[in-house]
Amino acid sequence: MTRTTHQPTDQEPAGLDNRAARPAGRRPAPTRKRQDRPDPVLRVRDLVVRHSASTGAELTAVDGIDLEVRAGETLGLVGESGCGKSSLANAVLRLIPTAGGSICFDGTELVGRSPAQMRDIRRDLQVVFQDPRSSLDPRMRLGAIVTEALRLHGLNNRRERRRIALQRLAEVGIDPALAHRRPAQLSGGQQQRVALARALVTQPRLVVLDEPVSALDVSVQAQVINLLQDMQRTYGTAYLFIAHNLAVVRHLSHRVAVMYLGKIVEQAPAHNLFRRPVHPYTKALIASVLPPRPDARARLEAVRRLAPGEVPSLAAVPSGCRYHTRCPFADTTCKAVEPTLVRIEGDHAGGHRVACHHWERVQAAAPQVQAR
Amino acid sequence: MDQTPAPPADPVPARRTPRLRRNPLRGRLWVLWVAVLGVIALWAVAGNLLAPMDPYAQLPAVRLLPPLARTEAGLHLLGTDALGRDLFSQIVVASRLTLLIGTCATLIGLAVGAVVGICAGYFGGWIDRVAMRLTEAQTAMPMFLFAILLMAVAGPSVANLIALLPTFIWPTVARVIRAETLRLRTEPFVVGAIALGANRRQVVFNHLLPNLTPRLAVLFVIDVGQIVLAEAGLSFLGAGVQEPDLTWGVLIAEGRPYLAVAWWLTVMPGLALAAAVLSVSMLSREMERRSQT
Repeated sequence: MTRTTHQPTDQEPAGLDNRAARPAGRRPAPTRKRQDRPDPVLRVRDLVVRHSASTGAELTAVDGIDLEVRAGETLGLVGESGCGKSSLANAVLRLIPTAGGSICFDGTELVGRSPAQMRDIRRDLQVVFQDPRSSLDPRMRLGAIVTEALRLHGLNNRRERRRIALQRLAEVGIDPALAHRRPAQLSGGQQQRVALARALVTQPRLVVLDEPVSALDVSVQAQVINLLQDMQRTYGTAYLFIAHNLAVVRHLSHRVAVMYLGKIVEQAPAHNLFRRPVHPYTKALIASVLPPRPDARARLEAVRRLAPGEVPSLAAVPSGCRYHTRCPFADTTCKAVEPTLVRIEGDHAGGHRVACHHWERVQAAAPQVQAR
Repeated sequence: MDQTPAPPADPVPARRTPRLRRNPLRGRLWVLWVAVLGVIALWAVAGNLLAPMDPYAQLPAVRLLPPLARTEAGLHLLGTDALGRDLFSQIVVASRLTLLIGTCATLIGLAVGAVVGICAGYFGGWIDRVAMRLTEAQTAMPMFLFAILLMAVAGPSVANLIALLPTFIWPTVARVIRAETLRLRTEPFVVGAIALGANRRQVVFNHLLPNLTPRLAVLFVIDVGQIVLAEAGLSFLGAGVQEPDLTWGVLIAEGRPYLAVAWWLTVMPGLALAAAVLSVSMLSREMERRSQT
């Protein structure tokens, strides 16, 4: 395994295999500044994912997406259901085939790797699914679930794994005395914390969080989100955080990408995106989901103006700008020409980008919907 | 309405109140099934010691005696057969071969069916198509005739029977397991295991098999009855177990000509068979219930 950005450190016991030694202790928190790490953990270029229906029709769920997730960072990915978020996640994890583009993880190209070649990489690329109830094997005990990745990769011996399991369970707030229980005996929030402990046990570089809190009660969501943050601080893991709940995304993400019908329409640092959304769709999204305030009526009006009607089907993607069927600013250009994602401010990677022909006009004309 | 308040009725109104007391047997009935199976297992292991009489001792003078008849040989608990042999002793001794053939053939059938089903469901593609055509071909064959033919060619022996009987059940097992595998394959915990870095072998052995075992247990219970009955059928037709070897199926078959005059000759071995299959079935349900809580 070649880890190009792996720091030569003194912390790790000399003469020992790094890989075997690492999961027992904690990875030193990333101390370098961002500029020293030019390579992102994940770089997705022009990714295309197609699903073929049984009828033979083809859906392009992800249609040429560029993404970067840097070490220790959380990239939020938002969009309505069915816009291709989960397809993107599964493609990055190489659980579904890609139809084009490249996925570069930690300096390694994943597209074209065989399942066997992927296995080594999966140690550093983990996932937490939406429904904790079905993502934990009902017949396994919690201790075994948490350390499954170690067992699969032949790391640590049985006794060490047991110790790690108890320690990790405690870390995510599960009483280690429950280690012999089965998932069905836990609440949804506890199950999701176990799922998170399992994902983090190999101290991966990147965890794909596919709507990790959507299936949980609101009161439990907060716990899990705080836990996600704590874990990121402890292990320096990067998150690709997929959600449709903007409030959650805003709380957790450093940067946010907004997806609409398989394309990214806007991407910006989180505070920028929520303070100064540019794309009409982003504005509508933000206006629609933030908590009710005295200007609720105005917001509703804004949503109605900015995003009227229904999301078109992925099977019949509109020409030109995909949003033109619902966009109040659309003109003939929008119907004919697909806008590209252009940087409107900021530096190369961290800047604010938007895919809209008329973003300047939108910004000037649209009511200021913004988050507090 | 205009009903006046009724005078205080008897302190325990008969049917009105829902029954609060739990059935005391509820949840403890499994002891009975364990006991039944324990007795039958004991018979199977040490039948020749436990049988009250020599099951092969013929007493033509006391043929076709009804249950509980007494002779100078002792009490014939379940009566005697057409040759004056003690039926209870025969049932006890016959349990060994019945259980041996039943469990062995069922386990082989389950194993074959499970392997075929898992491969078909998990790998899909041409493996799936070939496997499913095979099960169809097997199902399309008149199995019983085929079995008689094979047994006639290979010679009726216990070993041949154990080799042949699984063909009766493996197609069903394969189809059930295939369907279940198809369902499990898309479960997030299986997909998640792949994302964690599990290879095919690890997915199958760590996740698929443990989650298929309840299904296999149910299939075992269903099929063990079917196998024992098929064995009885073959033995009845002379293509199965041969005398002097005894199984419950052989006993049922032997009693059939006397059904009108000596019903116990078929009913009693049949009851033994029913009790065994029922106990296995109830016990597996109990275990299933416990494993879920």
